[in-house]
Parts: sequence; structure tokens; C-alpha cells
Amino acid sequence: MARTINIAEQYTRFPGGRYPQDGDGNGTDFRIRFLLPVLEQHEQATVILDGAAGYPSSFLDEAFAGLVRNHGYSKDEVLAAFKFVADEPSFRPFVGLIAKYVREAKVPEGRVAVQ
Amino acid sequence: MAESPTTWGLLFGVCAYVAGKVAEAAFAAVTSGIAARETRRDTAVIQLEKVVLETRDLAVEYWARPGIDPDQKQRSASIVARLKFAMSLCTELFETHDAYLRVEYKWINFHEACTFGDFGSVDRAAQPERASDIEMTAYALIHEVTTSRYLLPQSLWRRRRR
Repeated sequence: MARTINIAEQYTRFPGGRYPQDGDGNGTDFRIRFLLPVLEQHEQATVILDGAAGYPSSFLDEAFAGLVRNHGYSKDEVLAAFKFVADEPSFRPFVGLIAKYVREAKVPEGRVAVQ
Repeated sequence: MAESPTTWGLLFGVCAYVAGKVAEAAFAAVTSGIAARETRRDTAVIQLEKVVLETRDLAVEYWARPGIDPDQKQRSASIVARLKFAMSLCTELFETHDAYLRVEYKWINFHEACTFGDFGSVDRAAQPERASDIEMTAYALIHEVTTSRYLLPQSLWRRRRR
């Protein structure tokens, strides 16, 4: 059964920052606690974007593109593992931004994608 | 009892008068509806321009200082919230219209100019050079919104985005 990750309800209404030292609601913490387990267990998840105060690009990049950069998953694996829900129209651009950051993620040299 | 031609004429006159009044009232309702909607659109455009310029000012100030600066957390929260509100106004104005994708594209450029890179990081250095991207994308968004606003259809029936 596919998981559901409601960012505003399960993580924070105020996402921001890339790294743990940037404080609560950072992208690295969200990636490791919520996104990475989905890929590790070969599952799929629906990510609900509604309800947050907004999403800085740096947070989205670190959380989602970080799966490619830091954990070696392929862009296709990441994009296939997550579906996004944005019922409120003003959240819809974030869906496109996430896909863009994953597609543009640079895989570090010498790293092989996780099988 | 058969009515006289005078009675028929009177009846016709009353009917024509009533029909005229109904048409007049319907026309007034339509035109006042259009006027009210145009006023709402103008107000939203003014509000949008204001929030974009406020966001620009905050973002320029945010990037001019290092991440460790004591007020940066508050500045970044204000930037993110204002960007979100600006998008709400964009969708309110253009969601069902052809202009939406162009406006959304400009908003994304502005959003990235303000919040990409090390935005939110406490240990980043000041990057005042980012002001040029922030200024350019802010004005590009405002220009797109004001241009697209006058391309919105005037009819009461909303045109669906293709």
C-alpha cells in the first residue's frame, strides 16, 4: 500500500533550510526521515504539499534532488516513487519545481545509482 | 366578452413597458457585475505588485547579509510567505485563462531568484550580487501580470485555459 506523507501535518508547516544546522524543518532531515525510507523499501508515496506556509526552492532541492545527489538513486526512480498532491492551486507550481530539481540534480562523479 | 382594440393596445403597451424594464435591469446587472469584477482584478493586481516589491526588498536585504545575521530567520519566513501569497493572487487572477502559464513561469523565476541556493542556511556568506537576479525577475513578474491583466476576457463567461 502506498504511503502518504503530509508535509504540513507530519513534518512542519514551515519548511526551510537545507542542513540540520539550519534548524527545524530542514530539507536534509525531511529527506532522511520521510523520503529515503520510501525508496529503501521500494515503495511509493503520495506527498501532500497543501497546508505549508510555502516551500523555499533550497528546501525542495535538498529534500528531493538530494536523493539523487546524496543517496545515488536515479532520477527516474525518484520521480516514479513519489506522487504529489496540491489541491490548493497556489501549491501546484511546487510540483513542477520538484520534478525540475530532480531532473537537474548532478550525480557526484564515481557514484553509481542504487539498484 | 370581446376586448376592444384599445384594451389590446393598452395590454401590449404594458407588456412592452415591463419587458423593457426587465431588459434594463438585466443589462444593469450584467454591466455592474462586469464593473465589480474589473475592480476586483485591479485591486488584486495592485496588491500583487505591492507584495512582489516587498518580497524583493526583503530578499535583497536577506542576501546582502550573511546567514548567521540575527534577523535572517524572520526575513526568510517573510519572503517564503509573501511568495506564496503572490502565487495565490496569480491563481485568483489568471487560473482559468491563457495567461496563467506565462505568469506562473515568471513567478517561478522570481521564487528561485529569492530562495534557491543556500537560502535558509545559517553558515552561508553574504551574496549581494544576487540582488540583480531578484530585481530582474521581480520586475519581469510585475510586467507580465500587468500586461496579462488587460488580456483577460471581458465577458461574464469565463474562458477556460486550453
